[in-house]
Amino acid sequence: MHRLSHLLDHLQERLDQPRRRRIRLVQQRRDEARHRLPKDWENQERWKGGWVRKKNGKIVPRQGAKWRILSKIFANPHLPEIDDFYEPYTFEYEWLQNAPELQAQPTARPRSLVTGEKLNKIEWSGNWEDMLGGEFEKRSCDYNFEGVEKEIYGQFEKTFMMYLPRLCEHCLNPACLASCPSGAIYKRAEDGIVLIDQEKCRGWRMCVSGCPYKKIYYNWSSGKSEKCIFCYPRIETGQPTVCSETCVGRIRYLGVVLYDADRIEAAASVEDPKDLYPAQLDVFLDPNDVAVQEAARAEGITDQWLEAAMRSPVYKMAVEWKIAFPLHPEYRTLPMVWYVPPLSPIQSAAEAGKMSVQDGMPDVRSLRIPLRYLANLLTAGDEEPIAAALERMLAMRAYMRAKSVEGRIDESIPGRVGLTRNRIEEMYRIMALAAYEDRYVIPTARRELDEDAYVLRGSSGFGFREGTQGRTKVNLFGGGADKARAKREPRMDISS
Amino acid sequence: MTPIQHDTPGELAQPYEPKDWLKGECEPSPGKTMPNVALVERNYPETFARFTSMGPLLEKLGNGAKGLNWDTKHEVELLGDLNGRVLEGTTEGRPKIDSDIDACETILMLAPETNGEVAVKAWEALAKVTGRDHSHLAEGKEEEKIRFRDVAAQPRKIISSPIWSGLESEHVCYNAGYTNVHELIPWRTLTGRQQLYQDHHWMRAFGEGFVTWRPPIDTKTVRQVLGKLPNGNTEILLNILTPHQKWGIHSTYTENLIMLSLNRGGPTVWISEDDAKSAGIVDNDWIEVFNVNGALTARAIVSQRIMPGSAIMYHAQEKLTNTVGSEITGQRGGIHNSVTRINMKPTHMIGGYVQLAYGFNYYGTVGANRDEFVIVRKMSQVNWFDKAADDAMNVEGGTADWGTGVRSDQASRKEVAR
Repeated sequence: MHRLSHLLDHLQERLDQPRRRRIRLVQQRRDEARHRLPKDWENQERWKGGWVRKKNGKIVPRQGAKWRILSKIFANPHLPEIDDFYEPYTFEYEWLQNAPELQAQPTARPRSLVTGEKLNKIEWSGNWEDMLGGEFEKRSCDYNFEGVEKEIYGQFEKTFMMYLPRLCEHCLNPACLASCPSGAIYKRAEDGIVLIDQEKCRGWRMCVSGCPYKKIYYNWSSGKSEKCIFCYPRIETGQPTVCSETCVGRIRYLGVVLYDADRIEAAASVEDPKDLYPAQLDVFLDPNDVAVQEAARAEGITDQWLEAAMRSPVYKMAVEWKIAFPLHPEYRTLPMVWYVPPLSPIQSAAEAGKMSVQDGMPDVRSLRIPLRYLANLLTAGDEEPIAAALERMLAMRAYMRAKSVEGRIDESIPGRVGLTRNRIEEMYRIMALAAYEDRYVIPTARRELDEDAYVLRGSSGFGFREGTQGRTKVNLFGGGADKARAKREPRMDISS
Repeated sequence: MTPIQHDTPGELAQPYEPKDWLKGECEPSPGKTMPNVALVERNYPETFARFTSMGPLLEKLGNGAKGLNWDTKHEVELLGDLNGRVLEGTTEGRPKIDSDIDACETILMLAPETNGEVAVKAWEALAKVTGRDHSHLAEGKEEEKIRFRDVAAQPRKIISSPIWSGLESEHVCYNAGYTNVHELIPWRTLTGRQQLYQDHHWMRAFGEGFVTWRPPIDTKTVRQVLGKLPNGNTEILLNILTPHQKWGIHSTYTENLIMLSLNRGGPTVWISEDDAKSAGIVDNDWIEVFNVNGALTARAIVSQRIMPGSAIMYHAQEKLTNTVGSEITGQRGGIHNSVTRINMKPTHMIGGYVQLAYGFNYYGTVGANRDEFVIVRKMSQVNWFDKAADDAMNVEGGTADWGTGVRSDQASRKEVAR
């Protein structure tokens, strides 16, 4: 019997939709160390995030199994440092009002938020390479250019960029969880959200290096690691996460996906990295299958959740339409935030004549963003699934254009990409019209079924901070609880 | 004086060959060969009372725009009922506009978009001009009135009105020019059609009767200084563009910490990789951009997406943050407008001629500032100029006198309070 669990995970970072194109910036590293933050984060040879498969077919965290992790807890060589991100800064705004008469009009100079010192020049920021800023030679040291003849993409006419919104992937096989010496990280059985228990966290930060997406951060004030909590108090009440709710491009989708927890280890351990994406698809269960439904009920999954799983936009995109993919499946984390690859314009007007265009559908290999680049990002380099997904989206566009502009149904289009008319109309409804109710299909939590409410009486709700004020009672370094919690110092003191 | 306006009879007062009375070509005649002249009486002690109440002219003249006019006595009456009426003084009995909310209610009451009754009247007024029945566009909306508290509670769908050329409809998105096409409303041009040809004799004299391309004019702003104030680095000439920035409209300020964290934290100028190479500039170098109009300092963003030969400095990057001193001026580096200067285009000065009529913020002599060239070079000395004014004489690498040796600020030095 399959053990079922469900996952309210997510999403599709729908990077493209027919009318609004969302593109991801290709930010690349400079010299050895410039990249999306932390710079060069995708290079696990350097950062040792995620998992590796050993010769015996077992997987272990790349930074080492438990004993190796313990040996490094006092000096972790793979922990990103401040310069791998950038020196955070502010500006001495008060100077604009306080300055005496100067030789020239005053200007607010940047100051380091780390040292409080004046900075002569800001050298990096959170969005440094936005809109293709910086020389191509520096930007193009990009992990995702593997196997791409990148030289031509440095030309003015060959520019391409796209945006990649990145947050916690709430993985099925989280490397952060496996790396934590304190057992503070857990994946909630009821909805799949990965959390750090702030009471148990001891600030070893092995999760920071273990997470290949680098989406766990150490809070220097509380001495705890922190991460995206998938807005679980909202999710439990059926509301979308704040990032989803507020996205003006409506690129984020949330829905339930049922999976077989017993198949996770095998799926994460397949030999060829290109098989990880199909292997993860195999872990997902069809919510419309009566046998799956019966098994789910036997596990205590409510009908409300089953219904949500059947209506899940995420399941449709990932499994039924196969247009969404996991981010860097080769990390073997089985991430649960999936991405729809972006369509992009054809390479150049000059080449338009040479290109095969059939019924308004250009060849996906002539799109501006190289197929291999997207494949390196989403399928461990396997171009076929990406090409098929892009073709399906182009087909949807061509079909709907014929229908709404020319007023005719082009029967030939759906079959060419393995879809039906109704499927295309459904894709259009969910991806292009993108109504709120279709984007977020979130069943409410059943707390009374998940835990014993009796022991919770008189507690302070979602108060993982209130109960402890962020302090741990025991401190391994001998200091008292109050000392352990460093105060945030006001670094800016310009008036003095 | 008010210029001859579009959508008034005056716009056709001088067909074919408008004459200039100043040159003696015709007699000055207000509203025909020169702007309208109106006598305005001001009662200054009563300014506040008048400012906070609705005047009597709306009842007398009606309301309208785009050459339309409709009676609006009923709305003024309703506004008095809604806002209350002035109890005493020279404006006694007039509808009150005391508060900001009153002012909003005034607009909402009078506008056809937010008062269905007005919309019906406005479409009727248009029907008189076009001879067609447009009443279906406001059908069933007579009773609809959007009040301030409605829009404070949530956004509202407004009512279609002839003031706009698109429709608020379930069948079509708002789309400019839609009613011209589908309601057969003439375009507001000389011919009543979409018109590419401009027959005004000035346009013909400039050879611009049809849309045409003109090469950049020589604004004579770079040759005088090119190579004259060397700092040892290569100087290159680029065509500077100052487009609107990302995440802002018009001059939305970007100097707050969040915005400055979402980019490079201060003023930047984008240049192409080719130009950067020829000037020895690498990404994030301090550069100075100057011509005879002025000088600005910023950091360079070198990018393949910039067309060689051009430089882009986005709008609204103020020198309030992270701007070093200029090697050229001996002052704080300037902003994007420091190196540009508006060039008046003579054909933009045509007025009082059908659609070529002055309208504030709509049509007039806008500047043509895409033709500006600048000198770009890497800075050799970065000086923050944050010493007190007394020390200013010792500044190295900056001369406020453009190399002439004359200091204009000697006389105006002041004691600095420390």
